[in-house]
Amino acid sequence: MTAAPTKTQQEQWIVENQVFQIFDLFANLPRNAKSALVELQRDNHLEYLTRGLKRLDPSFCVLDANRPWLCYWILHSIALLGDYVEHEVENNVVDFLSRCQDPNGGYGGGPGQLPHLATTYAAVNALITVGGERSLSSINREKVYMFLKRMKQPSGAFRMHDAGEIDVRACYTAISVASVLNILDDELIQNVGDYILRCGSRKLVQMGVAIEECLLKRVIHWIEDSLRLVEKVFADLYNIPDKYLVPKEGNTNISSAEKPSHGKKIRSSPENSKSTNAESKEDAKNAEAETGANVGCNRRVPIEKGHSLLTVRRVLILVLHLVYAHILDMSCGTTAPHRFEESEGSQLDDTGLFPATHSPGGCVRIRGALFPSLGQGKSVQGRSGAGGVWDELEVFSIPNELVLTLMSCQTYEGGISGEPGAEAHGGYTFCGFATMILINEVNRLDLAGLLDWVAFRQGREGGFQGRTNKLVDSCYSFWQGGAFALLQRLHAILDEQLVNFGPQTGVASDISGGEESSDGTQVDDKTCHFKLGGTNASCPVNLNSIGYNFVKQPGEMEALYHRWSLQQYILLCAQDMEGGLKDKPGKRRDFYHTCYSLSGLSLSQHSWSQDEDAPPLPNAVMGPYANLLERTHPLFNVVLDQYYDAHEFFDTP
Amino acid sequence: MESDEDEVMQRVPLSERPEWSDVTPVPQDDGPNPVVPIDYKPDFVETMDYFRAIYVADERSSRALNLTAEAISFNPGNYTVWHFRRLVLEALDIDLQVELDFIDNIAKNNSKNYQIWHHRRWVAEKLGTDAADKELEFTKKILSADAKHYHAWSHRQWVLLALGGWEDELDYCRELLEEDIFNNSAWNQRYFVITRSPLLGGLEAMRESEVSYTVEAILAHPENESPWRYLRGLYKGDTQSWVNDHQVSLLCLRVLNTKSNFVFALSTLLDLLCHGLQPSQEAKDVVAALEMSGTVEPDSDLAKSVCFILEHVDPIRANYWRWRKSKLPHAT
Repeated sequence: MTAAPTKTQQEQWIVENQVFQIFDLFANLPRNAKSALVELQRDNHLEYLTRGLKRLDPSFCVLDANRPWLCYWILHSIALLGDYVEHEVENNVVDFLSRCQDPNGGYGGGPGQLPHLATTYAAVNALITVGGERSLSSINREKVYMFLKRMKQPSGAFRMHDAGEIDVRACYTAISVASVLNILDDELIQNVGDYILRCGSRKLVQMGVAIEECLLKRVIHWIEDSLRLVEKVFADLYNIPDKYLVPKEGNTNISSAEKPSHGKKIRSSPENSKSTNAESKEDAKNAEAETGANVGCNRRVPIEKGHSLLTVRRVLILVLHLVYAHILDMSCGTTAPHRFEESEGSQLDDTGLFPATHSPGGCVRIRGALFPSLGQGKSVQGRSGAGGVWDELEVFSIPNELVLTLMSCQTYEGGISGEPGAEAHGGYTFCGFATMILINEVNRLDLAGLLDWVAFRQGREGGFQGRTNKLVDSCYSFWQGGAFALLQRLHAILDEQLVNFGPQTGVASDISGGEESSDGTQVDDKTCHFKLGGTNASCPVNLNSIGYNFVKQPGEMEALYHRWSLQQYILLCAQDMEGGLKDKPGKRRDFYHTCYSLSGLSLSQHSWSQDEDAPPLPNAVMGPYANLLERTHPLFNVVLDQYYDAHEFFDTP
Repeated sequence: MESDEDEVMQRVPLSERPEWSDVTPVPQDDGPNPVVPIDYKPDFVETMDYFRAIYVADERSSRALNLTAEAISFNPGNYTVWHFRRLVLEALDIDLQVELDFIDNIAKNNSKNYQIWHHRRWVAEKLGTDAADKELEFTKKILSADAKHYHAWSHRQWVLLALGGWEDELDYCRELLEEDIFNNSAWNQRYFVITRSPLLGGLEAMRESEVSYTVEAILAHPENESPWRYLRGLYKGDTQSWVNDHQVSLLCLRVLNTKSNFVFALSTLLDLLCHGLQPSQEAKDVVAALEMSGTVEPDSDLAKSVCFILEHVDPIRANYWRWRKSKLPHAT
């Protein structure tokens, strides 16, 4: 609020100046010079790309764990330009990527590297782009499926690699790969939508209580309640023989304090459990807090006379967990995918209330809510019998998936973030959006809000920015432009949401009655199961044909962005006349920006033709008609012809 | 124990280091005709060849730990090396505070990579609540250089949720916004704090003071999209209050009256109308005044007029505004 321009303003003005200078220059050029400038430098781009495929200078060391990406960026760009590499190079691509394929499934960033979802996505797309029997059959689909299953988390989300990070990108790359390889099934899609959305948001909205308010009021109430219980719990704990307790060392360094005790089994005496049980009968909610606190204190809290502040803090964190768990329970009440009664093979602890099932990701189920265990990647040894949850349960852990799953990735701005709570971002918006379509749950997104957000991402420069008040960047020509391309085919759902845009429903996400999704496919029982309050029962769908049907159906409306301006930005501001494309004026070309600028350019050229098979009209293509690129699939981003071949290939049993 | 830059400069090849004499390097299996081959420098090749050797042998030793540090310094994006490093750290029971310093060093050069942050989260998770302050400090340092650093913000949110430290967070947001009111990441963090902080009363309790704060920010810079979106977010899940809150419509009118930088005011007014706001005479007059000053034909339906004006004053979104107009509920 000061008079001096802020950093954001300064940077924006610098870029605007550069861009408008280019536009001014262009506007004042004679006609023939103009057409030369807006010409796509095909030959130069192809040369730049082909060269990259053959040799990369030492500065590419930092991309040594991204070599399938380099293959994809380059090959996809070449395919968009309507060209292809020599047969021999194609064979080399297949050979090389086979060396990146892990014996247990998935592709790593280079030969011998751990399989990773992003590089698996890149490798699969690259091999589809190469096409042909040899290339497509080099993908071990059974093993890829197993890899995807291994990366799948109990929360529904995916990890990027073994013990790797969890985010929306991982969801997209996993689902995209599964869909394009015709191996997508109900197990893989389970709860993915919940991760991308927020579990049970609709129900809470219907109750007229925003989750935030509801949550925080309860937190306070619960903390008060639980603190009383905690006192009791501690009293109980003092009865536990010292040898079972975690010794406190030095300055409360938890990790070192905890390590020696790792193999130890901590359990309460039956008396303790019983007293807990008695308490819990009084009030089911309190019992949840109490037993949880017991478990947590046992495992992680060093016991000493008088609780340290730290201990209290930890207990509060636990209570928070339980509140989240409670809300999860409450909000999922109708469909109850998380209730413990339904969790298979669950074992009850001695209180009889809390199943001590250890889910594959090293998480612990308590009343169906998932608590990721601290020892990621290590299996937590659970035992049935007297120990029950008193065994080595590391409940006192970080609220990773559970809390994060509860919070929406679709932010208050309308776009989607990488992790719940983070800022709406173009790349993640595309990933989350495309995933929701591929798993047939797109009607759970607030599409009107998403559209409004993405519409405002196109700036005066013509290109898109990735986030509010950030600078234009050509790669978002695909990520944000792609969101428009997807929205174009979701007209029906968008309309439906707008009808319900009334004051009662609040957010437009409260749509029901989607008997058919816009792609014309119908929804089966299993999928319906995940649709809170959806009315789309008894309609069989082949999950793996969603991507196919989606693109087969022509766009139902014009793209709602300024296609001409986008093309102008790409051709005039992002094109390196020597070959390759770049982020913005002043930046250097790279394969990533080449790939996504061209992908965005292709989408904007093909974005609206009434007739599916007819080429775009000349006025849809800026510059000479020879600028027209091949069509790309807006969900997978592989060239359409190659996609169709792959679809047929993988569809054949 | 970690290599710093000086050591890298006068690097002794692994093949000449006695402690590595028992290890046979494993070359990369690139095949006879690799694509996208990188013209690696010899140091890079050697380090990775030795790394592969210990990785394949699953040797979780302190020399292995040092080697991962070298490999990471060559390519901080190699998630396999990071992953193996975590296995070694666990096996050796290393003081993880030292590991934080190692990450600090790597992050100095380039902190925009998923691996650094994933590793950092892993370490902080192990250290537990004690790490909260240090982690908040670390992200603050990164954010002081790049206030919109996506990874840093994600990490910071995770720290708050997992380890706590909410006490000063709202103040921190205020500071950053004072510095740059256009910083949308700071606005997003502010939203995160008011909706998630266990120390505050939640969205509804915070609404009144947040609305005043936001209104002030908007009046200072009506062209700033961030507070407009934030304002709408303050009523998330409670559209009725948003429509009924006179402060919101009043704000739109105040900005519209200035006849400059009013696109967001107008689009907010449009949203309000779509959600059932009964326009006041003043609102009609203000919009009419904008129509007069432009080339827009007056229309009896206020929402339609608003769309018309937007179509003209915001041409890059003309398609969008036309579409919005086509979807307006029929005039009541």
